[in-house]
Amino acid sequence: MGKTVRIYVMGREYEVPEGLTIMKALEYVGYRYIRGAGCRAGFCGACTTVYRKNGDYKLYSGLACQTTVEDGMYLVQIPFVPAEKPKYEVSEIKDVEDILRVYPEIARCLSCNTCTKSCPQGLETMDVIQSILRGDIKRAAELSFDCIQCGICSMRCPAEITHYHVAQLVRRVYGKHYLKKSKELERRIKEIEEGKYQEEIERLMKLPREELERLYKEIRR
Amino acid sequence: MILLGKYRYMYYPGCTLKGWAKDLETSTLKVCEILGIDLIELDRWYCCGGVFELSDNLMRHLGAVRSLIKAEEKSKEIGTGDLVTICSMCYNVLRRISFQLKKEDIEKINFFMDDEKDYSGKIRVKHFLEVLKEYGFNKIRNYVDEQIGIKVAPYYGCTLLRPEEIGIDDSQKPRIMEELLEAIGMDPVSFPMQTVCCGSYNSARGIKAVETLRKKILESAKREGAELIVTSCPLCKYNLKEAMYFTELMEMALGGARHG
Repeated sequence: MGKTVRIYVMGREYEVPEGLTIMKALEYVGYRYIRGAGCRAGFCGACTTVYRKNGDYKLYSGLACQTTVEDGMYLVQIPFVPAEKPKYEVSEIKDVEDILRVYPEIARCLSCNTCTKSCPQGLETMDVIQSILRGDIKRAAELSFDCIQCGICSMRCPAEITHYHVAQLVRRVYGKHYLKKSKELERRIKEIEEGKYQEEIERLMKLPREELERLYKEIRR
Repeated sequence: MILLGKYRYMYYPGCTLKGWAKDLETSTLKVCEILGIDLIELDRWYCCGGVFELSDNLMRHLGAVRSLIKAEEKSKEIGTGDLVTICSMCYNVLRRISFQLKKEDIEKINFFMDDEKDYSGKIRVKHFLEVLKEYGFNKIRNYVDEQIGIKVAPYYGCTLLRPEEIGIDDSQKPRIMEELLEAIGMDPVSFPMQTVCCGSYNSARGIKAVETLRKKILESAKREGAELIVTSCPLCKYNLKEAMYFTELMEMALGGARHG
């Protein structure tokens, strides 16, 4: 074994090879993920993690599949981020007044920027919320476009804003009411509705697992 | 590089002017276009905090300080430390934060905001009325296109005048709006209730006092023969119901419609 680092999981010390991601390190010491893991490539936002480093006052956060372990890390995995997710009808939501009715807490934003500092995607999360407050739906939708919904921002926010849900609503509103409609997309939706792919899907649904696996591998190639 | 004229200022709009008080912004920008005043909007700005201005909680001042930091960055590009606001509330908050915050409080905020450069207190916050005064009311006279000549009562409310140290004019007997109105061909009428509070955010709580104040203010103006009340505050306008932004009246007097 080459160089190793010490990590702490649920307070217990483990020694793991240097260079592993947090996700790999947890598996290395014997944990098996049944929640809080997804694409393992930094895109799905499922493996939200918080940690502290020995001798450092800051609370860090990130994606377990993208962050490499360091010596003296105290790790906490989060199966999911608890957040209120109100129901709404996108066609009825157009401007900031409507958004405030669904998420009134965004008016509590203090511009502390803690959300921005916590974002593993490097998004300007605070500016997303501030853009909404001044009615700039376009800017809010564009600034939040690369959001992977990991929810770290919402765990750190002192105003208890759930930025990732709010931003998703804003992108839906932007797509529904402001963006130019795509003719190609409408044509494809019509094809689907008319059942163009129905036969193929039904065929796939009946295939045995081995056959599906073979096809999947073929596509990946 | 933007080519800028002699009268150039950084501009902080505030959320309200981008929302339900759009008329205040569009009329101001039109007036500036006619007079040759450049208002350059900050690339980044944040909610000033509005009602939180009186709070001892420094967290409540982050938006204002952060905006002032963005203004300090922008000032290097524009070559002026003057930051202009049109909304009376934003003016009041930013002006107070810009120089009334205690030194140790600024230090604390700077220490907390480790993602920004330190605020060094170099920004001069000005209200648009002060900008027009600097420009010269006499000079504005030359741009008057239509002598409307109606009796106009300027309503100041609280936030342009109080606390005294940040007031844009004498807090008891202000004259700045009267002087402007006279220059644009109006017949200004001062009235006893012109510096009384409109009730402010109490309207959001449906408090009856706001209605009482509204009646008192409007009656006081009408007794002096006013045909129109003007203000620079979106909240005062909302509470008074029968008021117009002074910039809208200016736009009309300076022939905004004919300037395209």
